[in-house]
Amino acid sequence: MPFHSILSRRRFLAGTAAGAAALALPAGPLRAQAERPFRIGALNPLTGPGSEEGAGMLATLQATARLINEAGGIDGRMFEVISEDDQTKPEAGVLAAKKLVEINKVDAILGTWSSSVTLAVMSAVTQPNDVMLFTCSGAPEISEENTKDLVKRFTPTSFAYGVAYARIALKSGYKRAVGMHLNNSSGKAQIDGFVHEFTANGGEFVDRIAYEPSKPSYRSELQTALASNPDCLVLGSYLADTTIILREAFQLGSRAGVLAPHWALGTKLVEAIGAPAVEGVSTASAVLTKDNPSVALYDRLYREAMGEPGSANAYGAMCYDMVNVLAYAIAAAGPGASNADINGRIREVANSPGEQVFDFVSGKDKLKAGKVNYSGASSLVEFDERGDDTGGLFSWDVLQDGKAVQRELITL
Amino acid sequence: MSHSQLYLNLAVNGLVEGLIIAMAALGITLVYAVAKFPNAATGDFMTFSAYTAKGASVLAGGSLVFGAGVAVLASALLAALAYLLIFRRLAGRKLVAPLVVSIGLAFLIRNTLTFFVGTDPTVLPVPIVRAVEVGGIFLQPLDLAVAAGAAISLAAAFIVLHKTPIGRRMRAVAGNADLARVSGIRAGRVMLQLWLLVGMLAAVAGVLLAAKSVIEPEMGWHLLLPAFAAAILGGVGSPIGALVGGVLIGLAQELSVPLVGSTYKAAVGFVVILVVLLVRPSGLLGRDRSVR
Repeated sequence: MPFHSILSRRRFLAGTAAGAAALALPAGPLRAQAERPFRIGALNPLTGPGSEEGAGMLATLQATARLINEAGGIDGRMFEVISEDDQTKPEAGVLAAKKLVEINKVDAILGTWSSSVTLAVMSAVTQPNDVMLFTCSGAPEISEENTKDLVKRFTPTSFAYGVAYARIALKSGYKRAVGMHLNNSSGKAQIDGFVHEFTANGGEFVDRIAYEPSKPSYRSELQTALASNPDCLVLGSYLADTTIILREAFQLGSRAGVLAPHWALGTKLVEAIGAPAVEGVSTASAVLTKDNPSVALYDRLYREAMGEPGSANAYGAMCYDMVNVLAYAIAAAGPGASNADINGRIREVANSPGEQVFDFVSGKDKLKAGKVNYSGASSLVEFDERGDDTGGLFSWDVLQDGKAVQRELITL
Repeated sequence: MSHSQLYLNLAVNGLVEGLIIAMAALGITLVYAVAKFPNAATGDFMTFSAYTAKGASVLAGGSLVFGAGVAVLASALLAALAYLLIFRRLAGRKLVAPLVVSIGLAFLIRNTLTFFVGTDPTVLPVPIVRAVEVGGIFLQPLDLAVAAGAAISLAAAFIVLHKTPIGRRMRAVAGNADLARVSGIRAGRVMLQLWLLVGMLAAVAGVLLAAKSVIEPEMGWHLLLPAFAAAILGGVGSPIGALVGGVLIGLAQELSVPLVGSTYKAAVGFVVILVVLLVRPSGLLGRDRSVR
């Protein structure tokens, strides 16, 4: 098809030229007097399954960067945000990430959402380069493959959820637990987190049963689990299997307390098996931090950009925290710092101890006085040695009459 | 709960699940015996009937019996249409053509359902009742109903096959289609009756599975593999074999859970088949082809 190929090549050339011209403008001699801007590649799911969150994530990244720029940047160094759509697909995400790194020369990629996209982008951009990657994805493999420590995760991991379940189990007075989980990395990591925390605090973990999805019944698995007389059953599950397991547990007259993921305990579950069968089931859900100036500022930015409250999009709050943490780290590393220097400062500005600071504009002077500890809108933002945020705040919710009622807040 | 009680409980679970597998396997084996191809759409007939039962019972204000009745009729109609519009035109083709078409039909049914109902799981409006404990064994009233429903419909299918002229004609066509035709049996009519019967069997299996589990667009498709395994284990073409094979697969899967873990229970059924087929290549109750 010669005609088609000429046409598409022309269109491609025209597009490339236009893109290059557009890119050259802000980065050109206009800002030659100041330090080179810090380029953020905003790689968000603007289309595909993540699109409900993606637009708000991008808007928050842009609004937060603009806020910092308008207040004079980071000691004069400005943020520049270049957006690409990862389409919630790994192939599209990798192409977009390569473009951001190789053509736009971005210093960091912020805001990947789907774990499959993040894993693909990680192996494509962090290995040969020094590009930082801030993500909202939960898969455990991300921490395992974060060998160069360039990845920071702003969302509770599946493991962290498991730790939260264990805190709830301990507070509930449970002594002897069994775990049942879907045989995938998320289900496994939830139970791993539970076992880690529960046994470290004197709990006894007696059995774990991994099961396959889409089975008509899990009663044999459940009876095998309950045969060791646990007082607590922890699930790492999704909606369909939770529906079957909780119904069968009720039918069997199980008296073990149940902890299950919040994404499996919605109104659909209650409609399916009725409120009595889920009465007293506990769960942990990640919530925005409370009584924190970061939440108020994020909420204002999100309302201005998207016309709805910030609590509508937890990923937006994570993106707000990403830009602020980055700003503090750039400031801490000082003028002329390399990306590796900046990356090395992230824990220094985000983790405790230190004076608690919130958005960069209000807190930048405190950085000059001494060590700071950023507390964000999505979490207290504390990175462990694997780059995972352990500062998440969880709400312990208990199902009563089919509705989730908050019992108390849990910090990890 | 003692060790032996646990295994008895698992055996009960296996028996109930095995009966549902057996119904699907019977549908597969009947089509294979008479129409000479493995029908991969069997599982999706079940899914179709589960959704039909759900929809009809919701419309009827929660009457499950009405929903099941509508599902049986609708599924029989769907199977008959599948024969009249598709499989009749492929009569006389080799096994692969109708097999591939039946896979296509399975996708068509599943994706059409997904288009209208989405992928979120739903359930039949069955009241949740506590199990009755008898000597450490938990008997579920719903399971007893499921087992009874499966047993009754299997018995009905056997009566139709072995005690009625319809069944006799079906077996005649299965044995030798040409001989049946020269004896004055109208093969087209026999085929239509076969598909109506297969549709009804799939409908009952689908409704029983839905009552016990959750309704999802892929529920029947996931049962297809154990059902095929049961049909092969029992001897393809043998109705009694399908029943025996289904129950054996169900028992083997559930009893293996404490031994090899839930993840590998699906594999256990296939190990059973492997062993049986090594000893008896025609399956437990299948007749060796060379004898015919």
